[in-house]
Amino acid sequence: MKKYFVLALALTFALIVVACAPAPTPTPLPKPTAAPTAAPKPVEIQFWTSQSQTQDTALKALAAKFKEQNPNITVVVTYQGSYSDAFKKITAAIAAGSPPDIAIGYPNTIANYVKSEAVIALDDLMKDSQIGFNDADMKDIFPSFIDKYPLFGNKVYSLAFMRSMQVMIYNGDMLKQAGFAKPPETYEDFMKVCTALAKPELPCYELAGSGDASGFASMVFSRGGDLLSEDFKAVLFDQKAGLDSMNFLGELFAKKYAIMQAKAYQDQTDFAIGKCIFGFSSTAGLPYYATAIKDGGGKVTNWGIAPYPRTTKDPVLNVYGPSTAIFKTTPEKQRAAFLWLKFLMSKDANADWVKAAGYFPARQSTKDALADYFKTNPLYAQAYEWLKYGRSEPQFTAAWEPIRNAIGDAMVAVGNGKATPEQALKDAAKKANDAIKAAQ
Amino acid sequence: MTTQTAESAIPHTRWFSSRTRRRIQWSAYLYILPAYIIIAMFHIIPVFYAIYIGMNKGPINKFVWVGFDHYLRALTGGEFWGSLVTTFAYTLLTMPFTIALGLFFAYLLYQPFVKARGMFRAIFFLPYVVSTVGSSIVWAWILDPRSGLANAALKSVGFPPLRWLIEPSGVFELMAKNIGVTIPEWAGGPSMALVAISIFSIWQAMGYDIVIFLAGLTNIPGELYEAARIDGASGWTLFRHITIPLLAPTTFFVVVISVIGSLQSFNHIFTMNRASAQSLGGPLGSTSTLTVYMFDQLYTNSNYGYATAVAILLSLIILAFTLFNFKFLGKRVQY
Repeated sequence: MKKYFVLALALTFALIVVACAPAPTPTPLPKPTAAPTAAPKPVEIQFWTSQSQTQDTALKALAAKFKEQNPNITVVVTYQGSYSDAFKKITAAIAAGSPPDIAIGYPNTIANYVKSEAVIALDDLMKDSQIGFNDADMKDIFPSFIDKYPLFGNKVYSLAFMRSMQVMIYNGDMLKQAGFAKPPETYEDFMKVCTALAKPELPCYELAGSGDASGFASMVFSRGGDLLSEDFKAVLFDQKAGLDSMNFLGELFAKKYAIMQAKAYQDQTDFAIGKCIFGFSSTAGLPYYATAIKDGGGKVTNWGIAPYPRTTKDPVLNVYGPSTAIFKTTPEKQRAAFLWLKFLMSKDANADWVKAAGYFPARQSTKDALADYFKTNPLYAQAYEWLKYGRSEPQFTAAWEPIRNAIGDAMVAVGNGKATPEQALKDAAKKANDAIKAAQ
Repeated sequence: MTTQTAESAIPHTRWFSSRTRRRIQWSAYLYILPAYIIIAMFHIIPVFYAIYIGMNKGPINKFVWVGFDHYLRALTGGEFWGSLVTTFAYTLLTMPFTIALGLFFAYLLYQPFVKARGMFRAIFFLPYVVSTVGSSIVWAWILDPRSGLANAALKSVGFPPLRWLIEPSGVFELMAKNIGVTIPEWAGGPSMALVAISIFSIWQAMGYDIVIFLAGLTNIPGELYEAARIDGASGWTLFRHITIPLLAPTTFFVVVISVIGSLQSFNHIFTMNRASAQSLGGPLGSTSTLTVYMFDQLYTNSNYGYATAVAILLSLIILAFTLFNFKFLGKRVQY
């Protein structure tokens, strides 16, 4: 019996050691490869996404089409929950030494993977003579779909095959009541509309309790300002354009032209039933506005989209969204993953994806394949023309999420009258600077 | 000789019992081995791993040893203490009321004139077993400032509407403002949003306390009440001198469990924040308890080491409170 006892103790010890082992010292990831070689053997790649329902179906259909063109590569598309859930799962998978081969995520979460040395820089693959992009491709792809990470040597760690744009949504009938034939192009005109029509029961603007950092970025861009310096090491949103934007917000609340939302998507539902004059949303949210308006019982019949009001000559629109990164696996899998990503960014596949998801495509030439879609989706067609005015919020750093929260809190503090615009921006800038230091 | 005699009198028995005892020991260890393995793998090792993570920074697979830096940062920074104050405020807003109301309703249900006691017990217990996420969302609707039932009820009795979950101002600040007085921010008290979440928490947890108190009440011998009544006691006197002292062990248990539960609260705060379009711990951090702060540091800021250090500090706080309860309240309990 003593023998069994010793055996059992040894087994327990072994189990504990095994349980301990991977935790403090995670399984090392395969070494990065500078130039993946050809993959003649069949290879399967795991593609983790946050796209559900119709978008998931569309991606699976594209994977099947890709398989027809590349019989040796099988793409397994797996929905991993919201972007936040997928980030948690990928972080755990990195720690366990078994990340996916390729995944969709917001660039600030991808920056975390870069810090973990879990994803590869795509510069070499993009230039690869066999599978990379040629000059015509590079001219065709919108620059804002190629993600350079300033804090990591300005290398490309992700590419986007979809983006959306922050726009203003207006109620045309209400604008007419206020004496405007078209949506306001300046902040003065916006305020005039509010002065003519707005009251607490019919606000001009509804702010979520989490703030609206992408909206704030749009306001700053439309005043010719910026949020961070080019190297992402200094805060700029506390300068004139940011202060003017925050003062404008403060004025809207002080005059009771704006209210705080008490429910998720309240701005959308209120706009849909004629209880809010303007909405502010990404173009990815437009189908939800359309559905809400349809369900609203015909209270809003004349609505449209426009760029944010501005002080600049041309509009400047915030174009942002999720990107796709390739993880360090084997050279064959990395090559296959890049081919899949390149396929998703190709004209026809990208057009199929746009039709299913309503995002903007990565290539200018995709427009030719979208002629019918433009006819049936005039708002999308309208926004597409503004892509040339697009610029991205500084999402290519791990600090962006805490910076977004700091900006959001500043907007909410102003909205609730808990801080002056100056003080709120000063506090946000301090938090943002702390986040920038932590991200370096 | 005496020794020899004694030994010879029981040699067989001693030999037998010794073998039996030894056999029982070996097999007992084998029986408990699976449990030990599970406890080690899922409780003990993770605790030590958490302590290890709390002393590191950086990405989860590229940790850099920083020793006690995270603990120093927490203990010298304002955010941790702010969240701790919010946690204590939440505990004080929920625990005493939950226990007092739980005892009140349990005592009421215990009275002989109450019929269908089982049905009432089930009704009161229902919120405790209903999904927290689901009931939190329903309460967020109830507390909606524009279309919620809570403000409709206030309006019907002539009170002004409240902003409930989206109000970052303190309740004392709001009261003072209502009578035209301005008070300093530090005296503003817990935010209306935290009070609103606490109301939900009391509603949810009260049923559990009622059931526990009812069990405690049924353990009090009926003859004590009869004897006291013969001596002329009634009503409050019976409650004060018989019920409360004899319920002390139950009350002690409920206090310990409630303190731990309040300090660990997370699910309904998270859900009600989200359902009312607030940021996590919002509005403006006024509902950011330590658990919420920890979650935010982990998932928003990817500060794995710091978040784990905060988790360990919270565990130590809970441990300190539990020891305090046992040392000072436990002494007053007579079993």
